[in-house]
Amino acid sequence: MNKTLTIARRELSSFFFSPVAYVALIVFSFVASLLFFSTFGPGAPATLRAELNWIVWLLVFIAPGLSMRLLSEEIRSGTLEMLMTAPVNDTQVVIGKWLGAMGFFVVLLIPLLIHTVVLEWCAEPDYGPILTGLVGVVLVGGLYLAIGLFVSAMTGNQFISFLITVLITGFLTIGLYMLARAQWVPGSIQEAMYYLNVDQQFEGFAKGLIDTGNFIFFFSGILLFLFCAVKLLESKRWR
Amino acid sequence: MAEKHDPLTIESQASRRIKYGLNVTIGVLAAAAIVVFVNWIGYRTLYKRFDFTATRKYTLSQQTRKLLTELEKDYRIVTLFTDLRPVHESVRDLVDEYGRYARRIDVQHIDPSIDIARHEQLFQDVLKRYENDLKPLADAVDRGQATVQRVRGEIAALLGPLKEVGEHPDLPAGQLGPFIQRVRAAFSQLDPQLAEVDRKIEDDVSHALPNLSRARSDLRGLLERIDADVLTAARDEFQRQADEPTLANALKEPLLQIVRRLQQTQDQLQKTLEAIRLTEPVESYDQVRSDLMATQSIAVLGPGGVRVIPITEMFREPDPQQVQQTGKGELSFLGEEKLTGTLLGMGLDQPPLVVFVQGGRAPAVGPGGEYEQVAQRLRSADFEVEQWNPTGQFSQQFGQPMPPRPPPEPKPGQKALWIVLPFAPANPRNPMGMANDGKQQTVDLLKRRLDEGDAAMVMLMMDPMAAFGGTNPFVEWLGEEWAITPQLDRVVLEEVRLPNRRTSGNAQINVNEWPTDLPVTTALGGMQAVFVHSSPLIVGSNDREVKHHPLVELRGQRLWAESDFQVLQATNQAKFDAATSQETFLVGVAAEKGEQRLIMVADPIWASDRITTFGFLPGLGGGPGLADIAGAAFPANSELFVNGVYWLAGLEQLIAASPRTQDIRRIKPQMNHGELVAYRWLLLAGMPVTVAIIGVGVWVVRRK
Repeated sequence: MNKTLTIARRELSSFFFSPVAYVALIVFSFVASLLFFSTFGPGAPATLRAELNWIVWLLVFIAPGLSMRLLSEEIRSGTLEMLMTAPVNDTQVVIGKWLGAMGFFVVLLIPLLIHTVVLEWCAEPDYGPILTGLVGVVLVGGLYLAIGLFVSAMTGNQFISFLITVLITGFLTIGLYMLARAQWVPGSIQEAMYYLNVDQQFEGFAKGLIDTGNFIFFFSGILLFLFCAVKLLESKRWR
Repeated sequence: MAEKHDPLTIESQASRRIKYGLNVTIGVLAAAAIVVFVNWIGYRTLYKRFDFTATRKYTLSQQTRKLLTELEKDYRIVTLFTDLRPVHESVRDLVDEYGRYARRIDVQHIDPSIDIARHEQLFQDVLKRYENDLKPLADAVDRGQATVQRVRGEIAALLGPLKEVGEHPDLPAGQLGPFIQRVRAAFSQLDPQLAEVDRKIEDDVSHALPNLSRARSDLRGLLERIDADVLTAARDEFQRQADEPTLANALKEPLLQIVRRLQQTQDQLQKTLEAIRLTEPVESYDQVRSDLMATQSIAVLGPGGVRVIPITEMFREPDPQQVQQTGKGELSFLGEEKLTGTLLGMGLDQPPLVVFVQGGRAPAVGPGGEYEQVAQRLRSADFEVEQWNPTGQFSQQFGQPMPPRPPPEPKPGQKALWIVLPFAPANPRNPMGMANDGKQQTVDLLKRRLDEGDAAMVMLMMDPMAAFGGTNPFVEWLGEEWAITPQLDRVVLEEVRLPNRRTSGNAQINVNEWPTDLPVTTALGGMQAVFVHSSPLIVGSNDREVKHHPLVELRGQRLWAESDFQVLQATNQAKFDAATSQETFLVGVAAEKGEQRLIMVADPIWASDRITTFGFLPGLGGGPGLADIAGAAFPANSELFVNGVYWLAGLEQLIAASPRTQDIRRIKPQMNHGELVAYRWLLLAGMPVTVAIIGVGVWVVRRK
C-alpha cells in the first residue's frame, strides 16, 4: 500500500509542478463559474443541479486531458521500463497513477465548493442534492480517469491517447444519450443503452438520490478499466 | 554426442505471445462478464434508493407504492413539454420515479417541438385505442367525402346540358332562360367552394389525430346546404318549367333529363346525410384529442383508454393569506396525487354512475346545465353522468315538461351516486304542486337505492314553509334515518360593518378553514369556498348508529341564524341577533351508517356553475364563466363536490389528499445588483487569479 501511495503522491506532485495543471485549474474555475451564474440570481433556485449536469458533459474532455499523459508519457520517454524493473507490481503502478490523477481531479472541483459557500451566503440551500451531486461528479471523473489510464497504457502518443479517450467517454455520455432515443433501436437494447449512459447514471446524484445500482455501475466500471490497464501493462513485459 | 534439447524449455516468441495473449483475453473477458453480472444483479435485485433531499421529495408515498406494485395492467406515462422550466422538471422527476418503481409503467419524455416522429407515434397509439369507437364516424366521413366528390362531378357534368338548353332556339322568353343562367353561374361558383371545404375536411381527417367531429359537422352542414339551397331549388324549378304545357318538346326532354340527374344526385346525398346524422361524435376521444393538442401535459395510456392531465392541474396556487403572512408563496405540488388518482381511476372495471336528480326546469348537466362544470370533471374521471327529473324533464322545444321517465338503472355491479339538487320550496298556494313536486318520489328512490348499496348527496335550500310546520319529505327522512336536522326555516348571516356606523347582514360567507375528519376536506387545506344562503344543520345521535363527519363549518365572530323571511328578502337591512348567534354553524355534513354513505349540504347553489365558474378579472370585476380565464375565485366549491363524490363512491384514493408544498430553496430575492456584481467578480476573476498566483508561487519556490 505504501508503494501505491508513493506513486500516487509522486503523480499528484508532478501535476502541480506542471504549468498545464494551473492552466487547467484556471480554465475550469472560470467555466464552472460561468455555468454557476447561468442559473444564479435573486429568487432563482439555490441549487447546483444545472451546473453539475453541464460539468459531467465537460468531463468528456477534461478527464482525457488529465489522463492522457499518465502512462503515455512513461512509454514515450522510456521510463516505463525503469518503472517495471522497480520493486512495484503493475497493479500498484496503475492504482497509484489513478489515485494521483483522482487527487488532482478532486482539487479541480474546489470551485464547486466555493459555489456552495456562496449559495450558503445567499440562501438556505438543500445540502442533500449538493453533496450527492458532488459525489456523483467524483464517481464520473473516476470512471473517465480509469478509461483514460487504460487508453494511455496503449500508446506513447498523448494526443492519440486523448482522442481515443474522448471518443469512448463521448460515446458513453453523448453517443448513448442520442442512440437510446433513436426510433430504430429495439426496446431491449434501448434499455441497456439507458443503463450504460453515464448521464443517466449521474442524474439521480444531481437530484439528491443515491442508488446502489449507480454505485455498482461506477465502481465496477472503474475496476474493469483499471484491471484492463493492468493487463495491458503486463503484456508489455512479454511482447 | 549431440546435446538433447527438452522441447518444453524452448518456447518461440510467437507461442509466448499466443499463450500470454490468450491469458489476457480470457482474463479481460471474464472480468467484463463479472462486471455485467454484478450490474445485472444490482439492477434487478439489490436495488435500494436513498433520498437525501430535505423533504424526501422523490420518495413516493406508501399509498402510491402499494398501488404501483399491485398494478395488473401495463401503462405508459408520457410527458409532453416544449420547454423545461423547474415546474416541468418536478413533473418529469416524479414521472421517472413512477417508471422506476413500477415494472408495469413505461415512461417517455417527448418534446413536441423536437421529437416530431415520437409525437406522431404517440398520436397513432392513442388513435389505435379509439379505433373501434371511431369506425362508424370515420366511415360516415369517408362516405360524405365521396359524396362531395360525386356532387362536384355531377354539377360539372350538368353545365353542358344546361348551356344547351339555355341557348336552344326554342327557349321561350320568360323566367326559364335567366333561371338557367343563374343556375349555371351558381354551379360554376360552387365547385371551388366545395373544393375548399373538401380540402379543410381532408386536413381534419388526415391529421395524426383526426378531428372527425369537426369533419362530420362540416360535411353535414355542407351537404344540407347543397341539398336545400342548390339541388332542391334547381330541381323544383326545372320540374315546374318542364311541366308547363307551352314548353316545346325539344326542350322538355333535356330539362326532364336534368331533373332526373339532379334527383339521383339528391337521393345519393340524402342517403349520405342520413348516415352522417346517425353517427355521434365520440366525446371521450374529442376530449383527449383537444387535451393532447394543447402542450404542457402528461398523457397516461392504459388498456382502458387515455387520460390527459394538463400541467396546470398538477399545481395549486398558494393561499394568498399564507403568502401575506409568511412571505412564502410556492405552488403546491399535486403531481403524485393526480397521477396516482388517474392510474386508480383507469384501473376501475366499472366506473360509477352519477345521476343528478333535479325537480326544476333547467337541466342539471349538458348544454345549459347548471352543474356542467362539476359534471365535466366527473366525466374526465370516466364517471358516467346522467340526469333525471322525477316530474318529467322540461322540454325547451315544446315549452312544457315531458312525461316522467323511470330513473336510470346502473349496470350490474355498478355503483350509482344520486346527487339530489335543491328542490324549490313548497308553494302553499298550489297544493297540487306540492303533491307532485317529486320530493317524496325522490326520497322513496333514495331509501331503496341506498339499501341496495348506492350513495347520495342531498342539497337543500331554505324553505319558508318550515317555519309554519310544513312537511318536507327530505327533512323527515334525514331526521329519522340519519339523525340530521336541517333548519331550513333560517339562513346564516354574517354582520357586515358599513360606513356611518351602519350594519347589515351578508348571506354570502367565505370558508377558508376545513375540518380534518375526512380526506374530502383535508384536501381543501388552503383553498377558499363560498356558501350563500346556507341553513344550519343539527346532528345528533339516534339508535341507528350513524357516524357524522363535519364538512362545512361557517365561522365568524358575528354570525347568526336569521329566520324572518321578510328580512331575508333584503339582508342589507338585517340586524345582528345575539340570541341565535354562534361562532360556528354546521351547514354540510357527511354521514355513514353501516355501509351506507350520505353527504348533506344546506346551500342552494354551492356546487352550481354560478359559483364554480366564478372568477375575478382585475379592473373588470367578477362573474360566472370567468374561472377559465382568471382562475376560480372559489376553487374549493368544485373540489368539495368532486371529493365528496369520490368519497361516496368509496374511491377516497382519488382525492388529492395532501399536496406537498414545494421545497424550493431560493436565493434571497432582495439581493441587490451590487452584491451580484461582487459575486461575479469573486468567482469569475478572483478564483482564477488566485490559482494563477498560487501557480506562480509554486514556480518561484521550485526555482529556488
